[in-house]
Amino acid sequence: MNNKKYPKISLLKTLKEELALCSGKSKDEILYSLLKALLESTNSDKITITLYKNRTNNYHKKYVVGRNYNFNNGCSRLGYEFIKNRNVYAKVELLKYRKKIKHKNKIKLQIRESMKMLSFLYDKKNIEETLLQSMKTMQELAGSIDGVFFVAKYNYDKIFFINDNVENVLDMKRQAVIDKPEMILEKMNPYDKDRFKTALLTAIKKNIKFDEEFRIYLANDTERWLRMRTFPINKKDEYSARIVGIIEDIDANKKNELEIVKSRDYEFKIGAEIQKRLLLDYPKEINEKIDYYAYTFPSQKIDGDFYNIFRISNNCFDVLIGDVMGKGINAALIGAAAKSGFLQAQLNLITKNKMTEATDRFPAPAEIVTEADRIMVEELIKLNSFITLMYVRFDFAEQEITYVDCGNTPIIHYRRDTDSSWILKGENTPFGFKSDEKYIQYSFPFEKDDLFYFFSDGVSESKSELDEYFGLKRLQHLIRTNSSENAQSIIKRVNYILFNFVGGRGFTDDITSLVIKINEENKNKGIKFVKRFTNDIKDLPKSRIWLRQIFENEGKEYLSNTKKIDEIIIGINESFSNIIRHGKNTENIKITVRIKKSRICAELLYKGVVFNWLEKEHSDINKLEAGGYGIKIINDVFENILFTKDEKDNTATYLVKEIKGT
Amino acid sequence: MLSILGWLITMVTEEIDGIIVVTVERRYIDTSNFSDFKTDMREYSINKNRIIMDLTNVEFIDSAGLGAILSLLRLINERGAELKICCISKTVLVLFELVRMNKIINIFDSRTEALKSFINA
Repeated sequence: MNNKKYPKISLLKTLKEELALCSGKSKDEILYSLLKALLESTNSDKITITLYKNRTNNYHKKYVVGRNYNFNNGCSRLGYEFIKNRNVYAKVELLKYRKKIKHKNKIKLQIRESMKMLSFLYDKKNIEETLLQSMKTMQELAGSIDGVFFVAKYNYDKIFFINDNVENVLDMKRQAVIDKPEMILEKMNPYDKDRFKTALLTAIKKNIKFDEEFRIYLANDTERWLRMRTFPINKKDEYSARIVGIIEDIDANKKNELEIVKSRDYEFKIGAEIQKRLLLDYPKEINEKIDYYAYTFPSQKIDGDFYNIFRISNNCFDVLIGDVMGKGINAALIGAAAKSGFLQAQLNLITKNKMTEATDRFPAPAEIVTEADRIMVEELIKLNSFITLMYVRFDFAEQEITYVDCGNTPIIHYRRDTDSSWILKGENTPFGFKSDEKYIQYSFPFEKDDLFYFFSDGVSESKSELDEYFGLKRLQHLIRTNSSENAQSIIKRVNYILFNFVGGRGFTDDITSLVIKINEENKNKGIKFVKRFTNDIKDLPKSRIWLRQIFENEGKEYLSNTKKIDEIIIGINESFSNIIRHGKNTENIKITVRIKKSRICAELLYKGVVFNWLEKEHSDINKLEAGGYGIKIINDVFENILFTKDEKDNTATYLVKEIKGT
Repeated sequence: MLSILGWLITMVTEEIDGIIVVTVERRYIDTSNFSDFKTDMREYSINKNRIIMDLTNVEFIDSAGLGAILSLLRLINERGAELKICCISKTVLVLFELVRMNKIINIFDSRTEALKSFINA
């Protein structure tokens, strides 16, 4: 082999030179340059490259380079090769006039090498054309962008393109930025620099979007807020990876935003003051029969949490606890208006009925909520707001709480007799959902050492760093296990556990807790009878006999109206019968009957799978149906029916029959 | 409930002027026995057109017992026959008033009045 004849190195050199120059040439020009180089290096007279879509098709393009001899006059083929480049087949043929062919294999090798180089050359050319096209598009885009538009290498060490806006936005010469991209960092406010650099390095490393705001010093020593956003493109390799970015002047917006934040801080201060003075203020002296404590931990934004305690008499006080929808000064003002609205509602009713301050003649919770509805709900609807609230009466004469629940969080009632935490809730819609709502009140008895825990949804809906809710079950457990403590210690303990649970996540809602613990009980609260029955249908007649004996003996002093007695026995029997028929895994049923001057209260307490028969429809007697009358009977006999559960799978049905004046 | 020679008697029937009078010999009709009561009553009232249910001995009826009486009443009505009730206790009356039973069935204080109402009809 003759080096001069087959100078592979010189061929490659030629190709490399072509590569270096290729930007300004077309594909065909490059190809011809390559063929020419191949012609010279192989000492051929003529080279043809025929391109086929596949081997069997006719060719669709043919390139010929060489001296223009007559082919018919003896032309030897030095060599040829079929090459597949992507989807195109090429036949490369080297021809020599009147020459004996030597070194066919070497020539074949040279052809192959050439085609490899050609393939590389084509790829590079394609990329450059794509980039050129992108660049044109970017330039068009850049012209329509107010901010600075730039294209840089993936690691920012070279800026390929940056538009003229750089001089207005960054207050820097365009060429200076192209020559020294790091100039931007040098003029950056030191308070923003570290944050900016860390975010930028992360974006480069992870090949992700970047979006940061920063301040830059201008020539006149003032500073300007800017926002830089970048997007990685062409991520295939370091050679072609690019970043496109926009730098916008956000100075005016940012300064407005900072003003808004300032005014929000001011609003927060006003809201906090309203909350402290108007929403969470309550009388410090209520009643020696209770130990109570209230606590609110405000979140970053003011909620409309509010509460109040209204002392009615030595034996009676009301608690109002609520939460206005939304946050901020609006919620705080609506909360303050709601507190005042309830006071006005009480006053209106007292004036209307010319009442004295006697407990038993004070308007019932449902009446007060209904009057407050009349005063406020239309306004709330106009304001597109509503309030979840609970209005609760603690009546020591009856030894009962009576409450109206308007979509509030439930009350946790710790009962000493069952040593468990019970959930008390109602059925009404939130206050302000609709006008003329018919509010239903529920009653439930309490005894000495029982306690009631009121809380805002901020407590139960607080989340841990693992995204777990604090939840009702945890609260029930905490209240039970700390029930022997005083009211303040109970709240401190709940808060300690809650704050640890939430950890660094913090609170998005106000944390409001109120504990009322019963220290005394009314000695003259009537008589109480308790008896356990088995979950056996044969015990049904036994329970009736027991009830009748109570009313015919000790109860006679309180109730002599035989029709009322029959109604009560029928009603309790229906409730007992429902538990036996529908309660599953029930072992026994404890019936407690409290006979007072004003009312008869019966509680049926049992453990087992709950069947909430109160939710069932009752039958229409006119259709002569075979069942479903029990629920109607219970509803007709008793003024108050409450169905409640505790954390130990106990269920209680509480029935109240008013007997005043009979 | 009556017991004769160890047999428990739950119903006694007699026919007066073509009217069947069924005396319920139970102290109560409730969840524990309403099913038996219903079976007995169907047996005694089958193919009879004029029936009086005498509840003299029944001290208590609950919603399950009430349902049994109402399903029996429907069966009797469907075949064009008639059922009347008499001699209810004060407690049963309270239940009947609660559900307004008088709107759908004739209730008489005594058996004689119930019989008269059939005869004079």
